Amino acid sequence: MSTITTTCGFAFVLAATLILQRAEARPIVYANSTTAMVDYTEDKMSEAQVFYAPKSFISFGLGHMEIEGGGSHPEHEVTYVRVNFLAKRWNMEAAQANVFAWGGIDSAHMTQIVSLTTPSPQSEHDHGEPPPPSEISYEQRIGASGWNAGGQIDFETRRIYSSFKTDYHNSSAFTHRVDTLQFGVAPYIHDTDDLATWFVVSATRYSGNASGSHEDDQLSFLLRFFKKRMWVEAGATTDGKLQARAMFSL
Amino acid sequence: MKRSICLGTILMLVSLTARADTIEMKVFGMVCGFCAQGIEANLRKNPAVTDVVVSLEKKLVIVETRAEESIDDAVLAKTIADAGYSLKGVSRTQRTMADYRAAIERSEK
Repeated sequence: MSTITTTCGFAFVLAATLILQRAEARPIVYANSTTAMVDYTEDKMSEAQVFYAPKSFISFGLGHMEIEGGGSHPEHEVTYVRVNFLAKRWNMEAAQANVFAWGGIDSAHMTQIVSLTTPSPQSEHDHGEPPPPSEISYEQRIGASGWNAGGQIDFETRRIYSSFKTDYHNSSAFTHRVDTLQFGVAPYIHDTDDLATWFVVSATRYSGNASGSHEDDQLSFLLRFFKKRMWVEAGATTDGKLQARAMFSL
Repeated sequence: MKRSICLGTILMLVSLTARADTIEMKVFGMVCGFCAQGIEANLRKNPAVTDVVVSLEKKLVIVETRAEESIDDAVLAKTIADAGYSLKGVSRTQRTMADYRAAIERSEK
């Protein structure tokens, strides 16, 4: 519990720092940039992150993720602080490749539905059939501290984009892992001030014991746009679920 | 007549020497608008810089500096590296930013 309090305290200080730094902020991966990201997959998970990059190879910040579970564990939440490193970048004449790694500490919460069967009270004067036992259900919120780690490799030109990302959260309450493989094609070549458009195919595997089923694969088709400091993508999974992401840099 | 020619020549020389310096940099790794944003932001922190143009197509970053102010190649290399990119060459020209913008626009068409 004290770890959670410490984590929340640290998160609060970090959030305050980020807000104060915003006036000086620049785009992501450059010194003094602040980036906000949101990620949503219908009936699966949603995540929001804010990172501040003091240098082009490091950023740190906060994130919050909500995972849809199943059965008696309908809700899972993780609030985390994280440090991201650009481990390696290759700058080629018309392409760029990167290796990122990250890690941090989690404050995880799980909502559990607990059902209790209790015998019904029997009156002293009641000599008939005993009444059936009654069932009481209530929600129990379980908290635990944990850690997170992950990484990404990507390769990008102005025409194609590919990446593989893995993100893992571990706590005594639950574990959750998301692996994402993406491939994108730009229908036209964009330059600095143009609106960039990408067609993206994304394959995602969710695993860990936070989901109702331990492994779940999703394939989605997305349309991505970005211009200047704003980046949005939206589409649907093959089973018709909405998927959307947005990123904004200051 | 001689006096006016002399005066004209002096004025022309003064205007040439006072003309802003333009620095042309070949930069590798620029593949998206975010790259350009970061490089431009880093360069504009330098008080000698008055204008920046980035062309992803030509892999060029063009910087205009204030008249009679310049920026060392080492400073330029560090600025580009700090933004996360690789500087491959620097040349100094007297082409104007308008020339560059027009050339970039032509190449996009």
